[in-house]
Amino acid sequence: MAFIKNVFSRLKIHTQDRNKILVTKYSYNKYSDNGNKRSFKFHDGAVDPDIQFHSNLGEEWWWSNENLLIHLNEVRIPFIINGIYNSHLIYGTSGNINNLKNINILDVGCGAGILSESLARLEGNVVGLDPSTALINIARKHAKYDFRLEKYLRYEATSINDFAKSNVHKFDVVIASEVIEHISNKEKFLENCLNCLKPQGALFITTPNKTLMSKIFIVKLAERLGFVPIGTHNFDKFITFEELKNLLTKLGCTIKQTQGMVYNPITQKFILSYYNILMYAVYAQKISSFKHEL
Amino acid sequence: MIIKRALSSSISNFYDIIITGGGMIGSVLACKLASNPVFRNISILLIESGPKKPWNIELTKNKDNFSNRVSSLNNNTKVLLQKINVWDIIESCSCQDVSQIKVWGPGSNNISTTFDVEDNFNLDHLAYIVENDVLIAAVMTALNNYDNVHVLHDNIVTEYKISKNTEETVKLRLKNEEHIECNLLIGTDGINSKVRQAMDVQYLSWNYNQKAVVATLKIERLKDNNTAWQKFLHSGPIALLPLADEISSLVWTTTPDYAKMLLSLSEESFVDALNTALWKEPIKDVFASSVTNIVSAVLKTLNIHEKHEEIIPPTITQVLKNTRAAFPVGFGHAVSYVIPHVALVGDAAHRVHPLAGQGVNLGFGDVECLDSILSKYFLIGVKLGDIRALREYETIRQRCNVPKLIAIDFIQKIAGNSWSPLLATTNAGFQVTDAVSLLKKFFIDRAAT
Ligand SMILES: Cc1cc2nc3c(=O)[nH]c(=O)nc-3n(C[C@H](O)[C@H](O)[C@H](O)COP(=O)(O)OP(=O)(O)OC[C@H]3O[C@@H](n4cnc5c(N)ncnc54)[C@H](O)[C@@H]3O)c2cc1C
Repeated sequence: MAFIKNVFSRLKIHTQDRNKILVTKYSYNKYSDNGNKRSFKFHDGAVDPDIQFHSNLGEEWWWSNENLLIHLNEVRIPFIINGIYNSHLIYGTSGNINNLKNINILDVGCGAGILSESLARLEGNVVGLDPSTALINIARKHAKYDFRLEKYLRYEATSINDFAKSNVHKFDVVIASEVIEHISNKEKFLENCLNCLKPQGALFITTPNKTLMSKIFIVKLAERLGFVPIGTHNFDKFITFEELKNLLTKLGCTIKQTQGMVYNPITQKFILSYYNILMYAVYAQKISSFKHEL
Repeated sequence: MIIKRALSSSISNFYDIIITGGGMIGSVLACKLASNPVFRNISILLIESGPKKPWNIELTKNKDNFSNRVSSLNNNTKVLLQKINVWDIIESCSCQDVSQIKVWGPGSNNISTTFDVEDNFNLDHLAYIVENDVLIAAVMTALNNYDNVHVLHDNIVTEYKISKNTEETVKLRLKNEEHIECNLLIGTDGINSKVRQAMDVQYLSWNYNQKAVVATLKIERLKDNNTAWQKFLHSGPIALLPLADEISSLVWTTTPDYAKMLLSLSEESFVDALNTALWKEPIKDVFASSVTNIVSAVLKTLNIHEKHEEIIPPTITQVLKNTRAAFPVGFGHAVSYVIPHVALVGDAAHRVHPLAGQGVNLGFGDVECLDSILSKYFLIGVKLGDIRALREYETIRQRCNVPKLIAIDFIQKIAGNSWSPLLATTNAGFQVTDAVSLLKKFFIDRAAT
């Protein structure tokens, strides 16, 4: 996701923004050259350079208007809310007013909290989870700017693997937005997510598709423009819509809704679309209450 | 402590939204936001520097004194006021429908261009004339129904602290040394907006070297008083807006010196001066009428309905006591309406010449737009005051306001005296007809949206 961000930021080419990107790139290189100072471990034991990359991006996530994740909220939040409203989770909706009161939400890979904060503002009980302590610290610091969040938002700097062990069947909603493309063992990751979910709970995933188009736009173009170090991005980690669907079905989920997401760099807006060749969103319901092996 | 918190929160004296300026725009904005179900749990504070008016809706019914400050409201504004349950209150007090607008000028051979409601789409009326005070009193009455909004009269902000850090709240100090803060500050404090000054945004403005003389008039009864009249003179337009059966409101734009003189005249002499200005024979001009014909032919192809009739302006019989006053007129436009956490609405953002009766209507357009954009972003969990929502408001409103501001300024310039040296070689008729055809665009525009 970060790479798409960079591609489009670069396409826009404001000098000021470019400096920012250069800084980002520099700090990334510094870290990878030195060998990782801190190592972030996922359940499968692999040190994930993606986490390091995002940690270094850190604070800019919030200060930069360029942040595509902020713009992505304009489509993923309606998608999530729509799913929640169509699920059994909310009875007696109050008109067109989005309110997530009393719904327990886990935001897996929350980063600096761009999605978590918004969901907490809609009064959902949100737990933001990220393996990067650096990012969680930024997220916590940022949440202080809105005193209303305190009641609804909590962050934890831990991996989903560890978190799932002590949070079985705790959440009505689990979200992994723009995360699964950074994960090596996707099945294990999804199992962990599903373990945190109550039976009948709702799982939301958004991710880039694994297509020729996404390879051209997200990997090749980004590398050619030279601000994503060659080889950093692992296109192989991307997952196609079909693969994800099969994986979720295998793990006892029913796919309730899917949607493509398209970014328009001119209007700087995402839209939900049938065109899912670049990015897509999935809403799945956990049907089997079978507790997956931890 | 004067400020009563609408909602309890962990920060004392914190409001989600603070609106400074309780004029027509500020009060309607407060009511629009408060009545939006999306915002039912947020807290809104409206601060007005003036005292609470001893207005009582009951008192305004069947009254015999009329305020000299009135506004011509268009259909969009009516719909907005209906949505917030204010229109019914206004209608029950005093509100005059305008079903005909007659515009003419010197050199148009006493022929007026008439916009008639019957010819124009399915509008009930072309416009509605409402006293500003009645509108504000009606909104204040409606505001009593909402407990998420609090109104503070007789108070003023003495210090604005707008942080460069886009995440910090806006901090304000009040006259009584009280400190309050908010996520979103909205400036509806009129043409000399203090909020605009605190935002430090560029403001483009000029004076027309004109004054608008207002007064409440008694006019000779024709039949129903449902016609608005506007005559373009080189010194500026004269408008008569119907207010009640035999009462009309005057907006006479003229040179500052002449305005001063008009205010100093006795009531009888003032009425004479006005009647002369309205009735005086225009200079016959053959060329002018041929230009009128060409313009009319063009307009016909555009399917714009208008009629040309010989004008018989109403006769003024009396000016009501102590209703004469003069206001400066000018042009102003803030290059930015927003910065993080702060937005300008209404005259604080843009000021126009009163000749097209658009000023407050443009502001009400801002209100409608800001409300819908704020709620759109609120519903996806964006914090109030976030610059993305505010920028969207700014883009939409500037796209709508700027062409109108320019057109009104243009009408003023070709019809008014400011270009006279330049236009001395052409003739009066051309200038006026052009102004009229532009004016018409406004009425069509109103009808279309
Ligand atoms: C002669 C004349 C005729 C007009 N006729 C028409 C017409 O027919 N149709 C039309 O659409 N428009 C008309 N207009 C324009 C219209 O009056 C304005 O557009 C309208 O009043 C703007 O409303 P507002 O609430 O933005 O500002 P204002 O009416 O100026 O209200 C600002 C309010 O803020 C308060 N305030 C100021 N500073 C502070 C502060 N620091 N703190 C707190 N409160 C503060 C003031 O007391 C006031 O109540 C006319 C204007 C003039 C001069």
